[in-house]
Amino acid sequence: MLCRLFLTGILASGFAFAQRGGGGDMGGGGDMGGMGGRSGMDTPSVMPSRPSRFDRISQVLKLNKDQKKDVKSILDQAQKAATPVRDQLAKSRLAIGDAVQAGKGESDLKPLVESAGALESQMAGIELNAFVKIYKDLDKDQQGNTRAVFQMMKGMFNGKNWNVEE
Amino acid sequence: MFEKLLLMALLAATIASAQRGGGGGGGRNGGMGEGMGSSMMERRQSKLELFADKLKLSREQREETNSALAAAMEESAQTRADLDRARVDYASALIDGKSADEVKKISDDYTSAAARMTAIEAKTFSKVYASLKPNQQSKAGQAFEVLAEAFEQAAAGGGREGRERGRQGR
Repeated sequence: MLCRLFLTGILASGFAFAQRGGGGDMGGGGDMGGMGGRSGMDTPSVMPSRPSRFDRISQVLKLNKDQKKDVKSILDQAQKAATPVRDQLAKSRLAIGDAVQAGKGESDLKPLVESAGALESQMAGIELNAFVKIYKDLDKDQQGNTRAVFQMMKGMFNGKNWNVEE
Repeated sequence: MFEKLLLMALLAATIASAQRGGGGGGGRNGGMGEGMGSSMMERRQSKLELFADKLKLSREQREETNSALAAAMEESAQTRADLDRARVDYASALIDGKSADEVKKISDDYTSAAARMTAIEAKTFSKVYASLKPNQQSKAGQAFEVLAEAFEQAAAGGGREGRERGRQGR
């Protein structure tokens, strides 16, 4: 119950923050490679180097050495679990696109849409299970700073490497 | 009582966020055909721009696609709020050690909301598809995935990760 209150609170405040400072820059940064990130050769010099996801999680949660190892392991494992789901989701979306292209009607699309929904739910389960594992590995103070990490989990495993934004 | 208040705050913020994102693909760089490359800080191609490039959309078609996406974002505001709420419920249930049945119920709710969202995406894609010329239509099926990703990007306020960076920079 307390956790639910807490999670609801962090998500609400996260959205409120997004309202104020949001709008975002459409992910407008350079690609981040590896754990340390890079301010690569193709990055304009005026652009500040952008920390990788792992670096951001580590900073936000102020992880110690052991926790860093644990978090990386949790996210690596989740990425592995997400890979077949991601591939199926891509196929599922291709099937929907092909069905629209073939002029199929709503009744033909329905099972395809439901199948995609199930896969997205599966992916969300992987993301949130990973979040909860991380959450449980934190001390009380750190748990109070999980708002940003909770939001980062959405779509984290959509690419081939959770630490690289696509 | 307190929980209800917090949930209401969450939903209000979520819906407001969703409506805000509906103004043309979300985010200040969410739309197509403007501002691209105008700033060194905003040089990454959005999914919507990728979609437009993939299908070689004309300027008018890009505008139509922007409008269709904006309308879909509005239509899907409640569904996206449901998805966000289900995510909170799911994580809370796992942390609280709720039974497998309870977790499954939340997961089923998420599945159903995700299917509703996909249906809206498919409907939007159908509209865009109908406006394409025959040569553009031939490979359009493959572009649905990019459009679905554009929805995710727009729903995240045009750059979820960008917000994260901004938040941490404060």
